[in-house]
Amino acid sequence: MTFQIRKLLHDKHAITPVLSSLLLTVVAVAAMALATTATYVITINLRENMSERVVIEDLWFNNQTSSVDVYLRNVGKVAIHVSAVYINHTSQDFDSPFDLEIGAHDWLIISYSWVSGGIYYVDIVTSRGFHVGGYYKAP
Amino acid sequence: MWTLLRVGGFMLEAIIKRLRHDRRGISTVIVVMLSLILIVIIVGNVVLWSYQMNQLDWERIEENIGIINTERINRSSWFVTPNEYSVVDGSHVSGNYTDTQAVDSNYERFTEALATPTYYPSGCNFLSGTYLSGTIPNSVLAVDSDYFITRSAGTASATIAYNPSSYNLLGSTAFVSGTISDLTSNNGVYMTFRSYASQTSSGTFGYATAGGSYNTVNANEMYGSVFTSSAYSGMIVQNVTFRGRAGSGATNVKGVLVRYSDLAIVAVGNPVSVSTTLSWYTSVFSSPPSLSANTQYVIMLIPSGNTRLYYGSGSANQGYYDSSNSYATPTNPTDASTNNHQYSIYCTFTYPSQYTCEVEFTGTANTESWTQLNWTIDSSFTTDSVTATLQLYNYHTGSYPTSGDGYLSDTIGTTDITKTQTITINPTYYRDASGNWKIKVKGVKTTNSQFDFRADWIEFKSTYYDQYTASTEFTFSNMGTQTPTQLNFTVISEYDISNASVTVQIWNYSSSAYVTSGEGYLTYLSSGSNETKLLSININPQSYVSNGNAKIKITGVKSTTSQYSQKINQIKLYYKLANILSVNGVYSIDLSGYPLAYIQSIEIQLRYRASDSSERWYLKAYNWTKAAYSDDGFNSTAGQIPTTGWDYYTVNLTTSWRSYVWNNGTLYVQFADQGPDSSSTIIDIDFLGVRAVIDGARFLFRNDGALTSHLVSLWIINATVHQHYNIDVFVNSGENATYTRVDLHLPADNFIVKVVTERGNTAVLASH
Repeated sequence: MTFQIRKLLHDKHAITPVLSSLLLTVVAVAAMALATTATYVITINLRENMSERVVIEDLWFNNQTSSVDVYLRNVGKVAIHVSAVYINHTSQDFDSPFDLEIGAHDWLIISYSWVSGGIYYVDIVTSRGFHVGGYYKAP
Repeated sequence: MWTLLRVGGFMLEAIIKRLRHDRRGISTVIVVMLSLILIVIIVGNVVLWSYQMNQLDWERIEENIGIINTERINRSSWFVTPNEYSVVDGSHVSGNYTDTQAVDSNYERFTEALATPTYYPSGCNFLSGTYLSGTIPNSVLAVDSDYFITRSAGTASATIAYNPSSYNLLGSTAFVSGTISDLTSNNGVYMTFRSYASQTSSGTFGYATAGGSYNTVNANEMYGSVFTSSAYSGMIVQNVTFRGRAGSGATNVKGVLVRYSDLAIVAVGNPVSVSTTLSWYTSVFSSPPSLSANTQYVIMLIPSGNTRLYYGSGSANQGYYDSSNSYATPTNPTDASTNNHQYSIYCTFTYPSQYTCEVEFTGTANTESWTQLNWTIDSSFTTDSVTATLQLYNYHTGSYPTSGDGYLSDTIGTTDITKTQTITINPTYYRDASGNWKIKVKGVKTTNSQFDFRADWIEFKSTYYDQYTASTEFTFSNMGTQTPTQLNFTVISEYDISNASVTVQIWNYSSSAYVTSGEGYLTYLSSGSNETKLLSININPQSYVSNGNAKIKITGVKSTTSQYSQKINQIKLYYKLANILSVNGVYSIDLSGYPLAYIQSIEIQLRYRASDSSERWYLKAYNWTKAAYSDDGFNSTAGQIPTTGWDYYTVNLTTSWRSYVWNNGTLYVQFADQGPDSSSTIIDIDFLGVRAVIDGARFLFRNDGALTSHLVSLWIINATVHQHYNIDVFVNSGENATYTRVDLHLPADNFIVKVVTERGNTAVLASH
C-alpha cells in the first residue's frame, strides 16, 4: 500500500490529483469528527443504562409515619433518578424528586398505608428504567 | 476485532487495486474506511462498558460478608505506655516498658534505692576574689594537677599615720623655733620657719628733677641736700645720681651718703667721670649701705675738680656744702654750711617686695600595697594672705605635682588652716621603695615685711589591705530530684599561703542561707596541699537540694597584706537516695476510637510483684487541674499492701477522670510507694495499662469472599426503629474484623444487625 501511495505521489501527470487528495482529506476529517460526535450521542444513553446499579439497604414499614421507608444506595457508575415507585404493581407517591449521586444513599419515603403482616412487592424504577425491589413482609 | 481489521485490510487492498483502474472511486474508499472506523469504535465501547459492568456484578456476586458476633462493650481495650517509664525516685534495674504491655512472663524491674549518684559542680560564682584559671567542671573532677584557682581580694584595711621625721630648709628660709615632734598633733604648738626676701624692687629718694641753677663745686668741696628716706624696710642704697657737668675737661665725682642726724658719712660711692656735658651722673656704692626708713639723709657729692651741680628751690637749710673736705678721703661734713637749695641729686635703693618661706618635710612609711593615701597639713603664717602651696612628692614622675593628686594650695593667714587630700589612684607613687616620702610647703607673699611659717600638724596616712579573702560558690545543677537520705560533699583544695582560715558551707534551701554551724559547716586552717575535707549531711538532707540544684561555698580568709590563691582540685557530691520508688508512665487514649464525649471513666490496672510487704503502694495520675499527681476522686485512695506474689491493683478514676485526661487523650500514671523506709523494695511490673469505661458495641465481621469488602453501612434494627450508621471498615478476604462503636447503644430487646458493603451486598445477624 505504501508503494502504491508513493507511486501516486510520483505521478507526473498533473498537480490536480494532489489538490483533490488534500481536499478529500479535509472532508474526511470533518466527516470523522461529525461521526464521532454522533457516535457519542448515540451511545451515551446505552452506556448509562448499562451502568445503573441501585440496592435497597433497608425497608422499614414505619409504624410511626405509616409509610414505607426504603433506604437506597447507588452502587452503580452513574447518578440515578427515581421516577416511579410501585407497591404491589401500583404506583405510589414518594418524596419526589429523589436523586442519588454515585455512592450516595438516603431514605426514600413512600406514602403507603401498609397492614401489619401483609406481603408487599415493592418496585422502584429509575428514570432509565432500572428496577430494584422485592417482596417484603410488614411486621 | 482483529479479524474484522484483517478483513477490512483485505477489502481495502482489493478496493485500491480496483481503483488503480477506476480513477473515480477514491472518495468512495474514504467513506467506506471512515464508516468502518466508526463501527469499530462503537462496538469497542459497548464491549468495554459491558465488560466493566459485568466485572462489577461479578465482584458483587463473589462478595461474601458475614456478621459473626455483636456484643455490648463497657471497657475499651488496654492502652499501654509507648515509652519508657520515668523513674522519679528509685532506680531502674532491668527490662523495659514493652515488658509491661501484656500480662505474661516478662516484666520490668525497679528498686527503691540502688546507686548513689556522684555529682560535680556545673558552675561557680566569685563572692570574693577574682577568677585566675581553671574550668568548671573539668578542673574539679579529679585530684590532679588541674586546679580551679581563685585569686583573693582585700576584704579588710589598715591605716597607719606617719609624721615628718626631718625637714629641709629651701631657699633662704630660716628655722626659727620648735621641733619636728611639734608636728605630730594639731595642738597649736608650732614649728616655725622664717621667710626670706625672694624678690626686690627699687626706689629713689632725693630730688630727681633737673634744676635750672647750679653751684660750681670745686675739688674737695662736698655739696648736697637733706632728704627723708622712704618708709620701706630693708632698703639698700645702690648709688647716688646727680645732675651736673664738669667745668672744663673731665673730672671725677664721688657720691656721698651722709646721715643727717650726726652728719656722719654712711657710704662713699665709686668715682664717676663727669664731662662738660650736662647730664645725670651716677656714683655706685661698691658696698651698698642699708637705709633706715623715714630717716633724714644728706645726699652729697665731692668732685676731684671743678664741677657744676644743678639745683632747684628748696626749703630753708635744705642745702649743705662743706668747702673743706677731701675728695681722696671724704670726711664727715660736720662743719658744713647750709643754704636753701634743693640740689638735683638722689639715691637709688632697693627693698624687698616679696617674701617666701619654703620647707620640705620628710618621713618614712610602710611599703605595703596601699589602697589609699591621705596627707594633711595644718599651718598658718604670721601674716595674712600668704599664697601657700602644699605638695607631696611623686616618686613615679620624680617631681612635685603642680596639680591634681599631691597638690594643694590655698591662701592662708594667721589662723591655722587644715588642708588635706585623699589619693586613691596609685597612692604608692608617693613613696619610694623604702617608704620615704616628702612634703613641701611654700608660702609666698608680695610684701615688704618678713613673715614666719608656723607648721602645727603634718600627717601622712596610708591605707592598705591587711586581710584577703577568696570565696567561691560552686553550684550543682541537673542533679536528680529524688529525695536524698544523705549528702556527702568532698572538697579537696589548697592555698598558696599557709594558715588561711577556711570555711566550707552548704546552702540550705529551707532557710535560704548558708549554714553557719552544725552539719553543712566546716572550718579549718589550711596547711599543705590537697587537703581533703568531707561534709556529711544526714539531718534533713532534702533541705540542701532543690529541683536538682545544690550550692557549696568555700571561703579562705587570711590576715595578710599579700594576695594569695585559693586552689580547688576537686569538689564532688555523693547523693545518697532514700528507699522510695516512684515511676511515671505516659499513656494515650485513642480518641479516634474512644472520643472523650463517650468515655464514662478511666481504669488503671497494674500487675506487679513486690519483694516485701512492709509498705503500701499507690497508683496516681497527673491531675491537669492541680498540676500534680493525685488520686483525688479515685474509687480507692488507700493504696495496696502487696503480697510479695503477683498482685493486681486496679483503680477507677470515677467521674473525676476528666481532670486526669488531657484533651488529646494523654494520661500520666504514677506508681509510687508510701514513703522512705528501711528496706529497698524491688518492684516487678508485669502490666500497667489504662482503659476507658464506655457504653458501646463491638461487632465482628468475617469476609468469606474472594475480594476485600468495604463496609459502608451499619444497621441496628428493632421493632421500633431502623437506625443507620455510616461506617468505613475494610475486611480482607478470609479475615475477621472487629469494629467498635462507643456512640452506639445496642437495644435491650431483640434486634437485627445489618451491614452493607460498598458493592451493595448485605449481611444480617439477628440477636435474640
